Amino acid sequence: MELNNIERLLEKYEEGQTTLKEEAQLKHYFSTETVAPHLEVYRTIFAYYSTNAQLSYQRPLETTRRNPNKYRWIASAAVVTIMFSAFMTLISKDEFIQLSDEEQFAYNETLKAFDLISNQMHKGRTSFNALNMISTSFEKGQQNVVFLEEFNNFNQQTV
Amino acid sequence: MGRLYYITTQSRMNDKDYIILINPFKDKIFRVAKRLLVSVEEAEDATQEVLLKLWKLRHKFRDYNSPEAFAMTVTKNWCLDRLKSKQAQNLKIVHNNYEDHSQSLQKSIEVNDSLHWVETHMEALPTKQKLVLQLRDIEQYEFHEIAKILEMSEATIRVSLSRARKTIREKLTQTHNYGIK
Repeated sequence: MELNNIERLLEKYEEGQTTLKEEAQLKHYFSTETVAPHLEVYRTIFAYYSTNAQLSYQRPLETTRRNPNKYRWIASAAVVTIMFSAFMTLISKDEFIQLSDEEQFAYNETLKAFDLISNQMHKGRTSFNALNMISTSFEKGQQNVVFLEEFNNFNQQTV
Repeated sequence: MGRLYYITTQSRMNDKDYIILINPFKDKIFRVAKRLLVSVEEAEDATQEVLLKLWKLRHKFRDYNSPEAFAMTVTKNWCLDRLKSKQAQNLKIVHNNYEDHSQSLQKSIEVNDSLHWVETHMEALPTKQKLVLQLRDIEQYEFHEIAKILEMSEATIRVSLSRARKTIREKLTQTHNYGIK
C-alpha cells in the first residue's frame, strides 16, 4: 500500500473514524518489515495490540456442580424435626402440671382474690339496679305526662 | 453459531452448554479484566467471578441479543466495582506482582522493549479511554457493540478512542525520542 494512503488512514485512525477493516489493513501494513522511519512508533503500537490479543485465560473452567439431592435431604430432615417437636409441645400442654405446695397455695390465694373482686363487682351491680328502677319510674312519669297532654287536647276540642 | 443459538434459546442450560457458550469470549473477559485490574492474579480472580455470575444469570441470556456483549458489560461493571472498593480501602492496585515489575525493569534496559512502553502508557489512561481502546484495538469490536457494552453513545466512544490513540502515540514518541537523545 502507498505511503500516502497509509498516512491518510492513520489520520482517520487517530480521529476514531476508521472501520475495523481499515484498522486491519493498518495492522497488516505495520506488521511487515519495511516501515517508514517516521511511522515506526505505530509499528510498536500495533505490534503491542496484536501480542496483547494473544493473552488467554489460563485457569481451567471448572464445572462445580453441587449435588442438589444432598440439600433436599437436609431440608426434609429439618422439616420432620420441626413437625415432631411442634407435635410434642402440643401434647405436653394437655398434661397435668405438677405444682409444689407453695405454688399451689399461691394459686389458691390468687383464685380467692379474684373471687373477692368478682363478688364486690356483683354488689356494685345491685346498687346499679336502684338506678334502673328510678329510670323506669321516670319513664312511667313521662308516659303520664303524655296522657295528660292528650287529655288536655281532647278537652280543648270538645270545648 | 447454530449450536450457540440453540443453547441460548434453551430454558435450561447445562454446564457443558454453558462452557461451549462462554468459550469464545472467556479470554476477552480475562484481557479486559487484566487491563483494568493490571495484575494477572486479580484478572484471573475477576474472570472466575464473572463466569460464575454469568452462570447464575444464564436464564437471562435469552433476553440479550448477544450473550458476549452482556458478558463484557458484567465484566466491566465487576472490575470497576473492584477498583472502587480498592480505592475505598486506600490501596493502590498498580503493582501486586513484583515479578512482572522486575521483568519490566530488565526489559527497559534493552532497546526493544517499546512494546512494554505501550502497556505503561495505556495503563496511565483514564479508565473510560482504557476500556474503549481495549475493546476496539485489541478485542476489535464494532462501535455499536462497544456502545452496548459500555452503555455509552457511539459518538462519545469515538471521541474517547481518538483521545486515547493520540495520547498513546504522543507519549510513545516522547519516550522514543528520550531514549535516542
